Amino acid sequence: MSTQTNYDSGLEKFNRIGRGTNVVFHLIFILLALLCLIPVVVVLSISLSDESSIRESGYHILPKVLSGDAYNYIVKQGSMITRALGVSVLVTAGGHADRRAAHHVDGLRAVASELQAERAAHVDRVYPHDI
Amino acid sequence: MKALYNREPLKASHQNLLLRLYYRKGMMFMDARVDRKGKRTRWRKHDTELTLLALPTTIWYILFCFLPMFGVVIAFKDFKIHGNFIRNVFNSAWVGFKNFEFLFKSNDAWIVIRNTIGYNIIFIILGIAVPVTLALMVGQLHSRKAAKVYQTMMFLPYFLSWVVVSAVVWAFLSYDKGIFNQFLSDFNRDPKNWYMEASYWPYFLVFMNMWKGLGYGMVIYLATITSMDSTYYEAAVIDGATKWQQTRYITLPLMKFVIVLMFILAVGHIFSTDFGLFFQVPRDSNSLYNVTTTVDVLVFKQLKTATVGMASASSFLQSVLGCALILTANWVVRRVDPDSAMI
Repeated sequence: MSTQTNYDSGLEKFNRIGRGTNVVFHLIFILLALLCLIPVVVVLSISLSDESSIRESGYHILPKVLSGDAYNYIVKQGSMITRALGVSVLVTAGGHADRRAAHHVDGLRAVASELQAERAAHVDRVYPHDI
Repeated sequence: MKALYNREPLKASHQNLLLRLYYRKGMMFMDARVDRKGKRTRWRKHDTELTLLALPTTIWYILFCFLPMFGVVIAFKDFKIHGNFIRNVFNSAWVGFKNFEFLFKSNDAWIVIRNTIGYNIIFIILGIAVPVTLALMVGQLHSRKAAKVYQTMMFLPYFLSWVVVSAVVWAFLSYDKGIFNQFLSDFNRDPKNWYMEASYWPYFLVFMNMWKGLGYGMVIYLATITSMDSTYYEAAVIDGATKWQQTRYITLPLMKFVIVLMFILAVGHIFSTDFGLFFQVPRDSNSLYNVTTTVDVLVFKQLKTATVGMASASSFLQSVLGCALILTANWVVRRVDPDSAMI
């Protein structure tokens, strides 16, 4: 970690934490950054590893057998992925306010209506003439 | 030094700013014709402009915030789906508070409420303490470049959805394929069936939540820290204040407003939990039922047998309680420190 930053004034250089504290802080942040980075790397490596090799030898931080099948699949899906991305962009640009709650409620509503539709279909099947 | 300590930061300058704004507003409206009661009588050009400016937001609010509120009545009705939504709402029978009963009648009501509020209290405390501490620390690093690298890396998990996080957690915790169990077997220990061990999951869940939100929280607090006036610190250094004293008597008091704001907003969500965290990440494992079931998970599970009315009832209750808690928290804050209160 370089410390060759230009300081605006001597005051800022004077008003710094000690060298030891700086090192300790750096160590803490390196640890935290790795903690955040490793799972993302794992996502990437799983996406690049061969499905059957995962089934045989389990997950690894670095892939044992490389494979681009997952990405091939995405490219094949083509239009659906672009549409999904488009919807995401629209939602993000359109209204970011309390996205979490909105998603959550939407999810529950979707599940609810699906279940209801299922039940209605079931009722229709059992009592075809009633309703 | 003492003068600096006892000073109420920013207050004076805020007042100044407000006065200046009022002054400018006065200048702006000076040409408006007013009747005897001080009401403006003529619709002027800037009135049209301001109305046009406010129009899209107003329409948005009416369409997406006020009209849907009408749906609250579903919570008090025996709602059935046969076709047209609006007609259904009118035609279904009123049932009073019957839809709310399932929330309290189930045997697990106590567990669910304990989990929801317990986790949220931990999340609120850690979600403020840890990012604030780290933001204070990252601002002190000698190398600005390194600080930026750390921050960017810590922001990464925020962009993963809970479904992806769930897959990652599975890659680590899976019984036969997981990275953790491979480590354990490397050290000749017995592999653990992590998705069966309820005692670890409170820590896992708290950790996952912190891990995902850390970068985001840090950005908010760091933005507050970097926007502070550097002359405060210059004066403090000249008076001989140590780093700790500068943090304690300058940085934290100046951050107080943002911290209290985040706290009040978080308190409003105390009855709702992140469905992804509590349902997707534990993979709906039955052994973990007692430590992962929160109100939202319960509602989702009940939906398999329950009705739309019940789902609405629980959402309604969560919103009402959340609103009441926000107002209470704000009232308490206003009593303790009127400057930090939101409303």
